[in-house]
Amino acid sequence: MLEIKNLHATVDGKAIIKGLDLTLPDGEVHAIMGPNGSGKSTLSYVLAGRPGYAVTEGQVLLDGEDLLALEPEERAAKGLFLAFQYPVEIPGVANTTFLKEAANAVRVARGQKPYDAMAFVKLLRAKTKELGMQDEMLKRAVNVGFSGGEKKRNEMLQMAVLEPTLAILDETDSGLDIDALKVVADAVNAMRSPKRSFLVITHYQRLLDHIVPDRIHILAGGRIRQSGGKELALELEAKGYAAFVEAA
Amino acid sequence: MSQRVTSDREALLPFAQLLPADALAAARAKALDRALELGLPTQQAEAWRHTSLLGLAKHHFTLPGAAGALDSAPHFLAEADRLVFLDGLAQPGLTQVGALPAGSQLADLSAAAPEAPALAKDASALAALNLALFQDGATLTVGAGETLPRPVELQFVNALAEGAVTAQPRLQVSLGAKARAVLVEQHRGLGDAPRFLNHQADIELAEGATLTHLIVLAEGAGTTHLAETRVTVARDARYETLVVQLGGQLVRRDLKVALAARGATALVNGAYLLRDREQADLVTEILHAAPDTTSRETLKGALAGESRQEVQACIAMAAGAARADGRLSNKTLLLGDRATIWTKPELRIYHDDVQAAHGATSGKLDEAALFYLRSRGLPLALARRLLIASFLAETLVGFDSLLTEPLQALLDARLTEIQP
Repeated sequence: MLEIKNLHATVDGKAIIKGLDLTLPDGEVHAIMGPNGSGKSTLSYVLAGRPGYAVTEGQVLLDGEDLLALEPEERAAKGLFLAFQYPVEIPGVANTTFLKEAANAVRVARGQKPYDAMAFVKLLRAKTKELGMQDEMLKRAVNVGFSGGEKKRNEMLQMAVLEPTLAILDETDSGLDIDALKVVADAVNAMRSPKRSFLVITHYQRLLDHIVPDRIHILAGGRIRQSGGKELALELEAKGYAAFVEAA
Repeated sequence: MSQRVTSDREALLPFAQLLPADALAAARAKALDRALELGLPTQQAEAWRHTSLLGLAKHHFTLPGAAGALDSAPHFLAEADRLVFLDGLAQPGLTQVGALPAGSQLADLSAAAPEAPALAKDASALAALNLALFQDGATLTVGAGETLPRPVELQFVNALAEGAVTAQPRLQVSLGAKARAVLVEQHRGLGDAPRFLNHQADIELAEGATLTHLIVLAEGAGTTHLAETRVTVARDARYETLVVQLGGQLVRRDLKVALAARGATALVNGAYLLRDREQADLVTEILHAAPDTTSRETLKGALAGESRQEVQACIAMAAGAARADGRLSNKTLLLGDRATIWTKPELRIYHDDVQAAHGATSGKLDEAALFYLRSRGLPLALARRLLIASFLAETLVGFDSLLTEPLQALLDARLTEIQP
């Protein structure tokens, strides 16, 4: 379970998150929707531990443990995964090498046996097939020369291999056509389980047609302005963000 | 002494005592005179602005003693024709040379009974000093139309014993028309005792010949390793070299490649991974002397600690070098806050119809990439190693996996050791 209590965070000295509270129980999918500049991406980076994102007040607990005290790699080992809005290109590192180093790093940290080379290749083949990815993308350098859709599929592949307990999807739908969107949604839905929760950050209601959330939170000005069931997305689509931001 | 002079004659005087009294004595004395006349370069000389040889004066160097001190030497390649040198002296007991094709020879110079090599008119002080003091080295000849069945590996093992030693090895390589060879030089320091190594190499590639020349250096912390290599590339011949520098107090390679006839090609790559107060320099001059000549130079350095590197890379295109095409790139990762790169790319162009480009950048590890890797569970140290290895990997592209696989292993081991 993820618990965020009165979180305040700054980027380059500028306050972005201003007293955010959120509870995400195990096995649930929550969506965070909000206008540009509301703090959506900042929240995802703060949770993942990106250097330069300073928490000035508040607390974040993952399964009761102080998440903010952990290094980014320790958070990953503990089960947190962030699907980046803009996945980073890493020239010179083969995708397979990267995936294997990552999977084995978290497995070892979790007290599991690292994959042997053959078993890992088999696992990758199966997962790439599910995601409609070409095997050739495993040989290429991480995200280098990938289209927007391929990058997002690659994020889903990493998520599948790392088996997180908390996955944060930061605008994973941005830049995707409807087919790619379905592939991403299918990947998330296939991984839904009572032990795994998702925080889906998005601008648009569209993604939530395919990944149906248990709850929706509206983020504006660095705080949660309103929370509700999946019907809140439709209300938002009809009224726009302005109604919710002004109401607060 | 702080005279504003570009050479230092005094610094060479102690070496005059070392002149071997052998059959080449007359030629040696003449070469020594030339060296003394020229003097060791000082930091007032443009090419040595950031590199000081004053440290050499702190030691009383002697020439190495008798051969036979080394029982075994590690290999770079599993299978190769191999010569092993300890402080520049061949170790005949460790020579492994199989049958070679017609007109081909691989031997150490003591076995090959050298004649006195001629001293070039424009020889440097270091070239003259080498001629005066050289004791050993290697000669490789490949017959016209022949391809060597195995790579040639020259193992230079240094600084096993205490005491200050200077070695002045020579390397002579000649490939006949359409001959092909792979040559690996590995220079390894086994200790930190003072060493002054002054290598001189002359390489001639006849029409259509191809030489792949890998140079891997991991010298000891007390070693000054200087090397001058001159390469002549004939029509449609190709010289491809990769210099990998993994340490030493001061390692400086000076490479001159003459693309002498139409269609000649040079590929010059360099990878540097330095730590502490190590310094490694590369000075290259690629002369496009003929039409349709091509050169590509890719140099990448990762500098940790307080390490320093000087790169002076010149592409010259002579009058008449129509359609010559030369590109040069030098990128540096500054891993240590006190690491320094001086880079001076230079184009000298005397013909209109040519293409030439150069670029140099330096910077730190990409923070966004580092965070991305860590967010996937990779510990910081591993993420840094992976990014540094991938940065250097570009210099390995185009070389056979037979060479790049052991290289990758050396780079990984060095990265793990120095934790940059």
